[in-house]
Amino acid sequence: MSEHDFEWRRGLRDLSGPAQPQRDLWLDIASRIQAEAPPVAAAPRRRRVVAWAMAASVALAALLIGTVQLQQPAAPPQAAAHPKTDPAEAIAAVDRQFKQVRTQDPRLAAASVELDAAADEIRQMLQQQPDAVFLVGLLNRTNERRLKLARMGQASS
Amino acid sequence: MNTAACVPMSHAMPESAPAAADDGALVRRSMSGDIRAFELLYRKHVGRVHGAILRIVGMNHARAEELTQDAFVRAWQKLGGFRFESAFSTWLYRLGVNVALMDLRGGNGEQNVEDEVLELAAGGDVPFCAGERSDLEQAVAKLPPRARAVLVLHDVEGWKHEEIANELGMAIGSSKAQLHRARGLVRKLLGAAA
Repeated sequence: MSEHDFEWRRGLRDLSGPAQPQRDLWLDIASRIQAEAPPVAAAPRRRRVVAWAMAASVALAALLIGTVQLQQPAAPPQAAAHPKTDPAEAIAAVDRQFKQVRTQDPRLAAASVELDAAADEIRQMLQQQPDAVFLVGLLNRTNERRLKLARMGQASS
Repeated sequence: MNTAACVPMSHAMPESAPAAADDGALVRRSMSGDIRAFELLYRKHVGRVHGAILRIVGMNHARAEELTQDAFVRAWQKLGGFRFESAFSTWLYRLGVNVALMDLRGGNGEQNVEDEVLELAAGGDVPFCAGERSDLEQAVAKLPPRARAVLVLHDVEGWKHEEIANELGMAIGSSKAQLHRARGLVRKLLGAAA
């Protein structure tokens, strides 16, 4: 590469850098984007997925609890059939119902307390990480075990 | 000849965005539909985006401004897909370059431009402005679009051939060949201007 080549190649590198437009483009850009809907953020979309997953989880849990409660005539009327609009609040309501149908069998009490504590912990983690789909799955599996335990307790009484 | 190209790079538009503004916060506000936050991002980054586009389109100011508008409108539309895994400025810059390259791919004036360049290199009219920078800008502007894009991305913007080949949908070898060709043409054009 000749010295002349070296000079203009170095000159090319110096061409980099910002160059402002000769007029303000913002008004045109703003008028174009104002005609459109706001950008859809990925995170809220994911939150919506989580919310749906949580809502589905609540509905399933409510249904299952309902089947257990049908076999307990003394149980008070539950709000489980009317899940709350806010998924987190609805999950908390379902959790309260799980605790109401908790088995009284002393042989199952330790496992029941353990599962309740696990569910509480997962709910707290969900409050901190509302986007975490895996936590909804974990809560579902924990609730399935709680329900199984409730049924075992009912069968033994 | 485009006389506007002889005007020095205009820096008349001040960077009105506060230098310390946090892009992440502005992006999040923009994602929720805050156009004012997006304007601050525009003010902060328009120079870099427009600069790259302007060089790729051969110092055609009117076209560069249209494409810069397109780039920011597209950025607004695609903001929901921004994952905060890279700097917003980098994401925006790449998007702007991509808009310019898409425009280039859609163009069909390759042969005409090349003929013009070859004519100039053979000793035609010498349209360069005084001053080395302007000479260079004009020489680059006279290149065929694809060769110019490769030269600008490699020698000015510092991209690697792999990245250029990927963006332009060509083989790495083609990118290298285009760069060799572009440098040869610039050398001729600068020789003609001397």
